[in-house]
Amino acid sequence: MMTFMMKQLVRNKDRLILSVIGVVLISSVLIYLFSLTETTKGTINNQLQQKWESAYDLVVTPPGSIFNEENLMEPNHLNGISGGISYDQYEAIKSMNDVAVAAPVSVLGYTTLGITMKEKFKTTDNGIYKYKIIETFNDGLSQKTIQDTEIYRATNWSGSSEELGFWGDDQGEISLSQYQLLVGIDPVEEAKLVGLDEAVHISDTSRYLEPNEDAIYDEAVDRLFEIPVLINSKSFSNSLFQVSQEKLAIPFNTEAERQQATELIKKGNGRDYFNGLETEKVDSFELTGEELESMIFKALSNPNDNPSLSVHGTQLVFKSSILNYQKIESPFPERWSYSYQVSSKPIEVSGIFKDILPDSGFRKAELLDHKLSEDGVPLLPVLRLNIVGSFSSDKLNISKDPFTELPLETYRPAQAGIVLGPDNEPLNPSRTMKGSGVPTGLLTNPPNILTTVKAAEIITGGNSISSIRIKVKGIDDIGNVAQEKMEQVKNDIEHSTGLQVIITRGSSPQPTITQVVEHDKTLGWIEQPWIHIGAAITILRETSLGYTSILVTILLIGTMYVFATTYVSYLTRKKEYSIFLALGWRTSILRKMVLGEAFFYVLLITLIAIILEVIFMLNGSTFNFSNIALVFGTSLVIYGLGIILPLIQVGRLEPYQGIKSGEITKKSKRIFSNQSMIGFVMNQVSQRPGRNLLSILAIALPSTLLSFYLYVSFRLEGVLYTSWLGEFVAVEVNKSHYLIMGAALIIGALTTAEMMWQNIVEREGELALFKSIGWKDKTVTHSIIIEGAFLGLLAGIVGLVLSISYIGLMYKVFPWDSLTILSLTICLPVLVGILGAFFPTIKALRTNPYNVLKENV
Amino acid sequence: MNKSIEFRDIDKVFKGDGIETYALKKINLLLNEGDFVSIIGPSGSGKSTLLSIIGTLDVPSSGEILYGDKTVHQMSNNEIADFRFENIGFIFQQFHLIPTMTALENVMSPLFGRKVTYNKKERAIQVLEQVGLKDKMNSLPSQLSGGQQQRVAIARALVHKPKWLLADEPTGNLDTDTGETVYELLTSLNKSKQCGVILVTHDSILADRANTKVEMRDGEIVSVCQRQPV
Repeated sequence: MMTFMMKQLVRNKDRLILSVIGVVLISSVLIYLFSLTETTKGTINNQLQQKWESAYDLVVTPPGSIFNEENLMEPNHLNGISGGISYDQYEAIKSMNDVAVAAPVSVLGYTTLGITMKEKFKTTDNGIYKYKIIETFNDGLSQKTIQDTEIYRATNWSGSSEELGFWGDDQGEISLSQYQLLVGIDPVEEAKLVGLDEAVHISDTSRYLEPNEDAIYDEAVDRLFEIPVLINSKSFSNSLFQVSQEKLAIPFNTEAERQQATELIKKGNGRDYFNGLETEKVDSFELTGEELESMIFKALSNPNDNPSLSVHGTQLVFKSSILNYQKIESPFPERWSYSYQVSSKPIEVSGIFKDILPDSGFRKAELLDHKLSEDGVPLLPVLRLNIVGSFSSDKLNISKDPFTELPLETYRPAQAGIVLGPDNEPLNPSRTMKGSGVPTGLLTNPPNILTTVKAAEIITGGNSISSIRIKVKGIDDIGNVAQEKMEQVKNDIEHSTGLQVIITRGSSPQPTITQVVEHDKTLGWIEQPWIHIGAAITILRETSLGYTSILVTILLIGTMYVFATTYVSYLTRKKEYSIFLALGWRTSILRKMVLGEAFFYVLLITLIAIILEVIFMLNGSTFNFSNIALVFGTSLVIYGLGIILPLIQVGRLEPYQGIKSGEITKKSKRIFSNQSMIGFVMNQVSQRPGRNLLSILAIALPSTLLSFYLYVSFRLEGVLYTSWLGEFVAVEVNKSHYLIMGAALIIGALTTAEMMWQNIVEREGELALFKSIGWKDKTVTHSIIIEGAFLGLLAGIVGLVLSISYIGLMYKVFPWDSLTILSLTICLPVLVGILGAFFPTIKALRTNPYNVLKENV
Repeated sequence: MNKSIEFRDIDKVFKGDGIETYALKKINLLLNEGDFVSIIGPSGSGKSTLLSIIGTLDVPSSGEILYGDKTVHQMSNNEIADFRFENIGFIFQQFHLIPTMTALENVMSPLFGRKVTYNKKERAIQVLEQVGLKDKMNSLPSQLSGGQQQRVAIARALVHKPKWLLADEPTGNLDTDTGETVYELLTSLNKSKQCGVILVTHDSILADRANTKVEMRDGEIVSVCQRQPV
């Protein structure tokens, strides 16, 4: 049977060429599509799941505590929330079924952690010394002074008083302090979330926090708590301490000199007098914030190592606070769609705390909730830090790449690139902005001292938890299923606790730009990756929508094409089949022939796919068996669907039909007058409504999807270019989709060609007759080309209606603004129709009137 | 088994646009095994329709047709196909050869997909030899003259040795001489192979030479003439 069919095919050369073109096209489109889907899917998933994966799925915060406009979230927001969630709420969330990890963060606030270095300076010469401590910090925009303190002390003297402005008993000691953010965590949950336990240095003196360790309230001293803490061995401090000792040019050795000096100082109003005095520099030293931090931590861990160092009991002073972002117009909207402004404000804080903060800041300085003493002094908690161990943040199980990773982690310092100067001029290369660690600073440093949430609860007296980071059970990718589950958990938590829940998985960093204004002067613009909530899932949905529609279209168009070719093939063979039936063939043999031919094409497609894969392999990529299996499977489905009609028709075929020798006239319709070319063509089209509908659909479908896809991709560009991930995806995806759509349109053209081919074959007699009565070749050509164009036009109209309704269905909008794209839906099919008419025209021109008339009439 | 064909009250009606056209009206006819029958009548008299019904290519609107003691119309499609294969050989006015198949392949085509006790190719060559075209067996129909094509068609009809040869104006497209050759071939086949021949024609001279001449007009049988073989 195979040989018979092969002969049939080969002896029908014209049609075979058309079929082979179609088969090659289908095969290459399929293989391209499958390898593409694979790689792009791979890339999207990789990008989404690895680089942009946050360590947690949801974050629970007190209501209204997060700046969240247009789904944008400030990075490092968690450090800015000062409590608000109760321990009971936390326990309730932790016990929920779908919650795998619920890791709370209690942002306790800023302590001033200080150390005294005894006999740091020599004080062998008696006199009054001026000690100057300057802590400076360059955040990248400007040099900032964090502290600028002058202390005057006299040696061997103890008769000082408040009004004098200097102190006695100078032994050359120096006290330095810096801010540290103190945060409480749950040791068990934090271990599950980021592997904090694994990051702890284990030694005799260093261990991980115990789950139930809490604060010990020391009854001996009011407000004193001893808390277990874990310290980060890496310092994020960027400041520099410059300390100098100067001797005042005022004699202060003998009793008489001292008497005289104090008199003068009193008269000169203390400090003012000193300022007018000459000084002689004695000694100075510099110390980085990092060195200071390590010195403090070392002294805390081993208090007896160095008797000359003593760490102060530390107060918990300032709450952490949020930045006040104002939305402003972006200076470069194409680059940054979102733009904000932060401006510094004078720091308002009561007297004794003024010295330890800069004059102005970007965040409010707010003291921890406190009571006042009888004489109006704030009573703040005092802490004694019991360092149980240290950890290395490098060993944490979180992504380290600072620019692609969601900047949501508690363990990484916030960073920003300074991209524009004060006058909006681009800075190239951009500089990096760093955080100072000061409570009022623009960028915060991550907490380097961790204690337990339980301890935090005791210190604050309740509601200490600022946020809870949650990992949901059974979620390991980004997709609709995962999203639904997270939505459900979000709703559960929101309903049962009234807290705010934000889904962070499936977010994308989004570059935003912020204008930094200090003292009403613009210092420059910083670029920060904000967190675009839900961006990734949107992109995934949109791109997978793109993919699904492409895949479905290709299948539909493929089926349509196969449908057309097998149908046409059936029409051409109809007469043959009737003869065979008359000769006593069983219908099943005819069916086998139809099946066999379809299977032959499937094999041919698979063979071409194999050849293509081999070519790919020779060019360096790997031979992919699953692609070939997919191509085989898909073409089997396409052909399976395509031959349904012929299979049914063959069963209905009566031997008598095909052999009738012209005694019964064919039905004919006349809708239009045949007096013009247009009318003639219209009649031709309307005489074969079924198959012309098929070719119309075959062109309409790909063009519908093309215009839909154009619309989607323009839309997608809107979605995509608002985030870094999106930009990446957009570049990857666009060209391939258009390529496939183009191929689909060619297949559409081929379908039309097949159909018109058959029309021409059936009209051969008619055309021959027209030629014999004097039609020019040109007239014949025109009539066929116009027919193709007309079919294309109808297809365009159908496609337009379809794509508008499709867009309306998917996006609930009428695409007024995209009418240019949509008008393409009309023009392109006309072109395709003409293209499809081209082949049959050649055939028609070859018609020899004599031969045809001899046979047919 | 008796291979006569008997028509009982056969009607064939074509319905179109509310008008019923009788192609055949109350046909009663008995055709004996091995007979040489000619059916003659003007165009539109129903002779081709009658032939189609005999050949099971078409079904009557009412009435019954018996092949020996079998009624075909209750058979399944496959049974009808088998019946056609075993009993009927068709010869058409337009020959209806498959243009993409050689003469030999055309002759072999009825055997396609069937199990037979003989060698298909040998048999096909043998029947081609009978119609005198053994040397043309590898030619495509387009390379043959009309008469040759019709002889290939006859060979094709003969290949499985049917009980009846049904010929619908087999000489209609041929000139007189060629037509005569084809007609002679049919007569000799009728005699030598003992297969019945039913010939539709509007050539009264050819019709008169048959054993039985059925004359039709307006879907009805006007006369049936038996002629004693010479």
